[in-house]
Amino acid sequence: MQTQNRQGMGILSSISNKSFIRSELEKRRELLYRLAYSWCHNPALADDLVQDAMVKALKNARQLKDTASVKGWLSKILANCWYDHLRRYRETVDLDNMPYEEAASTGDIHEQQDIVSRVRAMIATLPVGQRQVITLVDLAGFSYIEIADILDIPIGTVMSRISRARKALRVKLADYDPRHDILRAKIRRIK
Amino acid sequence: MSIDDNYSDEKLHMFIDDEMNSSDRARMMEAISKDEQLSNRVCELVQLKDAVRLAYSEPPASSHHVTRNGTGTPSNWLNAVAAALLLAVGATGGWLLYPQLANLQGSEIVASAPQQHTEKVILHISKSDPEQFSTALAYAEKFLEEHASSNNQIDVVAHAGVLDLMRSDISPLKDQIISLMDKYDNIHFIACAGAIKMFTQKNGVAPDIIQGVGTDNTAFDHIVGRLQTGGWKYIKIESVTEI
Repeated sequence: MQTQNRQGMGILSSISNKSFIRSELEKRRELLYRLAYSWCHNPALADDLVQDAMVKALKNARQLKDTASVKGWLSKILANCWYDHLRRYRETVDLDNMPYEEAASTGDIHEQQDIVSRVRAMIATLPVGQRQVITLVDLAGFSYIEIADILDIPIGTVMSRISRARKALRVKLADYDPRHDILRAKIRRIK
Repeated sequence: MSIDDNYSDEKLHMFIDDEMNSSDRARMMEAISKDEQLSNRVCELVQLKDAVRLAYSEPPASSHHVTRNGTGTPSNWLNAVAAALLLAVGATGGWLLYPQLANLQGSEIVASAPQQHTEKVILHISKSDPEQFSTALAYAEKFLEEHASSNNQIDVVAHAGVLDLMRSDISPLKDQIISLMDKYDNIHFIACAGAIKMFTQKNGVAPDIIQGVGTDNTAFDHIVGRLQTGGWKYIKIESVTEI
């Protein structure tokens, strides 16, 4: 009976923190999905990753010590779900060198007609580690130190991955100059 | 040596990512204003950053997401996640099945912990399957027969898709449900308030729910509320063929 009571109290404690987590998940689900999609480029998989992350967030609600850091905490959980997926995909994961084959299914870059698809295809060719860092900083607006915490890597690695990712993207963008002007025009319009 | 040569790519990235302190940032701004080449490098990086944002501003929706949850709205989706969480907790947290449930054939009940006597049980019906629902009702009746004390309780909670089985006008199990409620005070049926609201919005008229069935709360909120009070065992029934 004592065991039952302890379990009950644990569940109660966990649930008591869940209203905040639930509210944050509703607010941040779109961002989590965008991040997940930018990593895997597969809508169904991105959906699964986000759902897994949300389940884990609710299950581990008590582990969130500082509500101000909830965005990073959720992103860290999502990143771990992504790693779990990659581990199933390969026995060893070298994030710095590992392309993710499923991403290539987004289509041959030369067959992509619209700019958004082209940029996505370029991101998809980046090694997983670079892809994660560049999207965490550009899509989610995390600071370098936050990204280091989310991905559990040194801040120097964050900075070097950002440098390599942007260098690669610049080279790839330069490869299709005719589109480059259109891209610039479109970017100006959305500012 | 131009001003531009003093600035590595890494520093420019720090500038566009707002990672510089105010004094370094001010120096960078001044340098940019004086050096066209440096200015062009920064512009190119800013455009690159914007391109990444643009590329994922509207990612394709997952059809998977819509089919799994029916509507795909955030709150419904979240409820589905929360329900999955309950299952996960049930599987790992030692919430125990009533012994007789072990006899259910083809069940996909999550939680297979060691058997133990329980007094309060939530039966969560997730599929609109009259046969499954009927089997769950038979189980509920057996539970109540064997746990005559009013301290023992059983809640039969119907998720959104199971609303039809709680409707007075079309449910093939109406008589069975009413009979159980008449016979036992400690059985409660709950139809999901969220499902009722959706039905009403869609059809312009509220569903005719069997009298006595609770309609005040969503299935999820009811389950969470029960679990918060402690002492309740949660059982989700997804596929049951017989007792």
